[in-house]
Amino acid sequence: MIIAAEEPAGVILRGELLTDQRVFTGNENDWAWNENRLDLRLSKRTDRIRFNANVWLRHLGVGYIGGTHALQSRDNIYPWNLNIREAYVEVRGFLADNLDLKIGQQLINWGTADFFNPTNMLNSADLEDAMDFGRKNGTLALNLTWFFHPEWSLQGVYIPRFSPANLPIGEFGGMFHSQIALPQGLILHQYSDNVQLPRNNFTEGATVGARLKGFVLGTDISISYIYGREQLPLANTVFISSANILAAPAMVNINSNVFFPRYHMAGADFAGTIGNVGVWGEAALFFPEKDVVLTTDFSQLHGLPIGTPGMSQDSLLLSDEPFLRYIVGFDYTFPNGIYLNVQYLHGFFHERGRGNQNDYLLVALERSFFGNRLLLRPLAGGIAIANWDNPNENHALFFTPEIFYRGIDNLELGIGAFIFDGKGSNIFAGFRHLDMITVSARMSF
Amino acid sequence: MRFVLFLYVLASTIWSGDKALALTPEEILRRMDEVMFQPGDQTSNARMVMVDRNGNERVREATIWQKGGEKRLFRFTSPASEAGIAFLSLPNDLMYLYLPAFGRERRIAAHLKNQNFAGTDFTYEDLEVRKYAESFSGNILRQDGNIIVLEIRPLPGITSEYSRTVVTLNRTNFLPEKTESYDRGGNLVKSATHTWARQGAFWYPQEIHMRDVRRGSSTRMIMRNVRFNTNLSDQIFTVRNLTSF
Repeated sequence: MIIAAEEPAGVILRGELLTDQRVFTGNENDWAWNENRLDLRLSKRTDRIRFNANVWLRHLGVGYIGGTHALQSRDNIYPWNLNIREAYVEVRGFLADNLDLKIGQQLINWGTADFFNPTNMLNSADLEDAMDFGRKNGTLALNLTWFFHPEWSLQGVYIPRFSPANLPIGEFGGMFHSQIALPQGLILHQYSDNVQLPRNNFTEGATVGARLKGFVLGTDISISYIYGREQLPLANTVFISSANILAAPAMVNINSNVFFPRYHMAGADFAGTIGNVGVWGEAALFFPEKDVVLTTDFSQLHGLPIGTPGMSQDSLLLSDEPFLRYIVGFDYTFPNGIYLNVQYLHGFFHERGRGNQNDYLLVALERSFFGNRLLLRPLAGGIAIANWDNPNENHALFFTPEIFYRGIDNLELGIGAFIFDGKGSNIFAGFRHLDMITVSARMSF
Repeated sequence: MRFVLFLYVLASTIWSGDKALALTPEEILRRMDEVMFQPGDQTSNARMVMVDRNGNERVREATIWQKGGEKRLFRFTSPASEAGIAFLSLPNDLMYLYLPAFGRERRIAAHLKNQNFAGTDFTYEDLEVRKYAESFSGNILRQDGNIIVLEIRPLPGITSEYSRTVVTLNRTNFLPEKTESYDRGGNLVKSATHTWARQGAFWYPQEIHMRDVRRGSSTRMIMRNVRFNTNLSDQIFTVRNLTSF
């Protein structure tokens, strides 16, 4: 029987208060982000059973006033939301001493890489804050881990319901929107789409995963498998209809159907050391279940030459050929305390299909001063290359220096910047006019 | 007759003193291990008072679990911003760090052993639990009354950021009272004084005052509520438990 390391206690309440404010350096210094977050963590533990919950109560964004009638609602002026990030029960020694069960809304650790985990496709991506890549949403799951050896475990996860990724808000709202190429002579008047979620039952919307984790030759390793769905939708049908054919160029409306295709994923990862350097790597090989063919229907383009009834055009949007995303990285602490972390990422999680993965070099360099009272991160950011044939025209640079003051226990004050540059169509290059200064304060209790 | 008895006692005393003097460094290290790791397990609460070079003071609270001379789990309980940060030391130089903000463990690479743990003046290596006799070779520098001054160096295959440590120990109980550690360049980098207390049959370090010579800072680790042989499970000293906070 497991003996709990911590004494059983009453309900434990921990948390933090965070304010995170960002202002564009351009755009007449418009407010880019306003978040005031009360982050509450509740836990109750006995010898074998633990209940954990994490709730965010937030004032997020700036009010939208659509008319004077909107001023009658405080919620319009001070938008807020409540987000239950996690709420789960953990049973240690469930059925057998070496079997742990977690059931409920939870964040699942999957993969060993630092922050960017290509294999972690169980929790849906929380893209709300475009500057907080890697953030995940808690997911309703049944999570069993069997510690069958002191250094080996086998984990099985069943997620009964599908949850798509939530998209960024604010100025970054369009960063994952697909570009639709219209025939020459046509411009878009109105766009709409229908989201086809998988049926909400035990099979259609379900995701399953398994992971074998161990420790070999001084290295933590794991292999994993997931049968899941893409978290960002893909279009399978686009209807183009006439809006104003007398205009020059002619204006059209687009209506599309989007869905979340199935895939199998095989993953592997490791973390260890080579000499005095910490190293890690994580790779995810995706096998799309089917080709995704986009059918563009022009039959509603009355009055235009291509508007022949019954006319449509098919194009392959996602091949069922396997594609790979991976990350490798290292970190090192110099004798003078400078910490360096370098990662090379091939394929962000939204880059699907063989040959569609961009390359990212991510670097962070930091040093603490005055007994950890001051943390300087002067070099943080990365380079993205979208096309190696012409990197000068297809790249992005992002630079995110930060300074944190931690001179008073439980208080952290931060100031930093997000600086972007680049060319081409990759998402970071699209931020090049959205440089920001950020100020934050965090109090723990 | 009384004179003969006196000579016998005198001779016995001298003989036993010679025997202590004759201890090899390896035997001294073994004696240290026997005394320091005598309890099968122990649990204690630690108060860490950190003082920087300007005299500014910060306080941390932690709970420490230890089993024999091989396993140790150290977890901060306060302040809130540090609560949950934990460090697990296992045999074969294995060390793991758990940061609640990341929700996962991270193995501590060998090169990080000389880094200070969570802003204290204790490095990961200082907090690592390992037996002296199995990790170091010794050389007696001086013996003076009840004091033995021993120089210890890591054995081949043992990773340490200290090239040597000078240990001043008390001959009566073989417990280290002072340690001075030097880096590979031969510079003094750490100095610690140990105050030992006895509870029942066991000794424990009531206070360790660690000074970082280069930073000019110090940390006093004061042990309270020490419990011995409560039959701690091996499951406590696992990554499974480390990440459960």
